[in-house]
Amino acid sequence: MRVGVVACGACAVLACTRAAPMPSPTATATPATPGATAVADAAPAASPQPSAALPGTAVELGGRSKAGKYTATLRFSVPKLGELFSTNLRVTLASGAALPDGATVTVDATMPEHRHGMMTQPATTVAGPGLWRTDGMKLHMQGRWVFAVDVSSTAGDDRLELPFEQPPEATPP
Amino acid sequence: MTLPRTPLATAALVLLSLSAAACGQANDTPWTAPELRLILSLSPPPALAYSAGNRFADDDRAARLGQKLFFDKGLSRSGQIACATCHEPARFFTDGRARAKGVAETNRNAPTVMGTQNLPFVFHDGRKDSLWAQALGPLESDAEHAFDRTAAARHLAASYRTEYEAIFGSLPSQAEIAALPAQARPRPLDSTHPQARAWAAMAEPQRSAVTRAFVNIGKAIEAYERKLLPRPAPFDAYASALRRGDADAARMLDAPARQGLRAFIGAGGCVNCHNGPLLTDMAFHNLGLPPAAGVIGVDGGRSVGADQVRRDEFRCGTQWSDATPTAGACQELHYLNPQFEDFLGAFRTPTLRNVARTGPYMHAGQFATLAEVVGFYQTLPGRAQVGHRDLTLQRLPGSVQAQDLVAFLESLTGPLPEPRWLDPGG
Ligand code: HEC
Ligand code: HEC
Repeated sequence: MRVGVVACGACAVLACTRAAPMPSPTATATPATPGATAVADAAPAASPQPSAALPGTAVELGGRSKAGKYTATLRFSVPKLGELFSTNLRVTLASGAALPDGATVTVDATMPEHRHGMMTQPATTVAGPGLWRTDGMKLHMQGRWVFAVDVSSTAGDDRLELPFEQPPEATPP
Repeated sequence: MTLPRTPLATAALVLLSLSAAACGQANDTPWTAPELRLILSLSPPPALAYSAGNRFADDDRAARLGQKLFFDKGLSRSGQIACATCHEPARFFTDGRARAKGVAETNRNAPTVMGTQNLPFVFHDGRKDSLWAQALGPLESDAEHAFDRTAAARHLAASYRTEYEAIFGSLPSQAEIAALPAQARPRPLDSTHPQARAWAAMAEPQRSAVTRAFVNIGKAIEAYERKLLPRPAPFDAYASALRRGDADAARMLDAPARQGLRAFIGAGGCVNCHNGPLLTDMAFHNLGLPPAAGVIGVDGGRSVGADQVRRDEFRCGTQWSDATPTAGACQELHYLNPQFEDFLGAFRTPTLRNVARTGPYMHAGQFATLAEVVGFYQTLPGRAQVGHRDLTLQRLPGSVQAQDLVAFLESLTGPLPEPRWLDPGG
């Protein structure tokens, strides 16, 4: 799908190649982005990508952890901006086998470009074998967030980083 | 060409065709799809959210009683102070002063009441989690109404018994009221104060009956305040025209205001914090503001407020609140992180609706005009008095014209609430 470019040199190119809404693509865990040093001086514009899904859309983010120990899937419904929401997480060993007993996880979210995290204190509880539920998350700024899922078990400690684009809508459009 | 049939996509399409017409005005570039989406996310002003802690919040009789109480100077020790003293309707429910003055000057600026209805935390430092609990603060503040709850119960019984009882049920009888000490209230920080001693000397049922009446003053006032929502402004007319794909959208907003909007959602980074239809993220940030002239000491802001709200006598889920924590209410309080490191010196992002009418600005009235506020964002002078300046803040790039941002902020002024809510009522 493509929309033509306005026939005027002075006008901005408005390319609706990826018009909203559509579900976020499944993200695979990206390599570490040392956010602390990333963008110190350039003022990052707030603009969310046009592809950011509308609030209420079901999302599934997942992939392999950085050192390759685990596979995880984080499911939630795209929150309204600034609204508390919950996530469901499934974790297995990278092989697909069940986690060893006693595994623990934490789920956090930060905005590397703005060097801040969430202002709330979420709580993660076990929801079944290899399943966790996290309540009390809140993304108060539109734009790129990164969910950090830390898994710890006798198989070792490892982390997944899952980018997510928070849309700007705080009320239903 | 197939595009999803969403209003956004339609608006984007119309803009595309429009932009051809607008060509020639080099600085009136059409909005990109992400820009358009951001603009539409700021409008229209929000509808009321449910008030979990106050089952009278949407009771019109409570609103009419609350209206009278809001203007009633009888709810102050001196008989000179009402809520409306510092929240004057004609000034969009502010007082025009840098720092509010009741019995004495406070160290904070009086914010507008319009647009506070849906906030999870109120006051600049968020030390209250509902409007009804908030209203009880100034009544017992020594610098503001300097009242106490036995005097409040007595005043209610003398002036509003019939109306009150029709809504909230019975007040203590005349004999019971007559038996109350003249002035009594808890003072957790000053238990030897005569009012605190008088309170401690009362029997528990007496204390609860008085506190119940006091709490219901707050609940009636909240019901009234819920009539004071911000109303659509010229900016909303523009956003709504964009949403419809109206070819004449640009007529709704002057060119400088449109330029200011562009900076606000783009290079200026304002929308990072001033987002959503109230133009606030409802969160707390340390801007690293200069000290306010005449204020001694530093203000810890949210780091103090976050702690206070978790211990507040009237917080969500207490016996005075109508919310049942088990039913999923009180979540904001439950997941609040009081240790959040950036809370030191942070204050809540204020709504920018009607901001041109609510100066002076910032928590201690540091700036008299919007031009001064924008001047601050241009240079970000000095450093934070306590904690550190929010890392999201960046000096405005030279390409942003201060007067354009001011023009945009001025386009956020809507009409006052309906006239029947602007006086003590009848
Ligand atoms: C002496 C002036 C004064 C009086 C009287 C007064 N207020 Fe205020 N009001 C203020 C100030 C100052 C603040 C901000 C205080 C702070 O954040 O510490 C405030 C804050 C508020 C807020 C929170 C706004 C926000 O953005 O969080 C509301 C709502 C409010 N007042 C309502 C009332 C009501 C209702 C009454 C009467 C029961 C009242 N006020 C009496 C000065 C006053
Ligand atoms: C980091 C978040 C953040 C950003 C970015 C930001 N603001 Fe603010 N703004 C705030 C906070 C927080 C306050 C209140 C600070 C205080 O009282 O201590 C505020 C206050 C204001 C006020 C005063 C409102 C009042 O009622 O007192 C105006 C006007 C304003 N901002 C406009 C802007 C503009 C224009 C921009 C972009 C140039 C901007 N803000 C960028 C967080 C932000």
